[in-house]
Amino acid sequence: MRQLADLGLQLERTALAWRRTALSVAGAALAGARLVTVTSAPWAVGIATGGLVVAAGLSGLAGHRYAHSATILRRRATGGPIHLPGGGILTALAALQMLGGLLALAVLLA
Amino acid sequence: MSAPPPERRFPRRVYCAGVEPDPRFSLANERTFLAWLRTGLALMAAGVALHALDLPISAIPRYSASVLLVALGVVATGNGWLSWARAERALRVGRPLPGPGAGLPLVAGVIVAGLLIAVGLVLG
Repeated sequence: MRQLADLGLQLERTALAWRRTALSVAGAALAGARLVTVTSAPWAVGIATGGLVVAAGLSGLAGHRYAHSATILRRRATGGPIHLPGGGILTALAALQMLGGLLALAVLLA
Repeated sequence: MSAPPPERRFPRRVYCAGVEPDPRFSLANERTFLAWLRTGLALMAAGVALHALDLPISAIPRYSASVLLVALGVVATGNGWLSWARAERALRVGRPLPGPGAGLPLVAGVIVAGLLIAVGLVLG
């Protein structure tokens, strides 16, 4: 029983971590847009929009992943097969962020 | 007892190894990865801000520091993913968790960027 309660708390912490990440992405997008506004307005709008869309997606993902994982873990209590979601989204996020960074580097070095 | 469904999660190199670990550890690993993402994002944002804002810092140290910070952000992001994959695999096969990886060079890089900014402030 205690382990299930522990798991519930860990799920909540993980969902909160996703939301924190969403907030960071939103903040960085707005800051980036603000910094780029002077040089190029279309890019600023692009960065802000793209970043906010990603942030909203992450926030939604937090809820979905939490609910999905909770269902799976509850199934575990009745002896069913369980496994938590995989690393596809994590990989995509890391790749996207690295791409953004490389783009920024390219602009800086140009 | 039917056979477990075939492993379809990505990356296969992680999930086809060993057995399902305690979910608390997997979740902790996921949170660690997200922390690395936020760290990388912050480093990149710092680099861009350093370049774009009007600051009393001499040009060359400022430019070097800003490029360095953005590069460190990219490295931190990549390191975050690699650490996640390595740790998840280690959890599954019951091996010790991997060490800090690129963590130490990253810290060194941030210190260098700080020193560059300090020098720039003095010269600027």
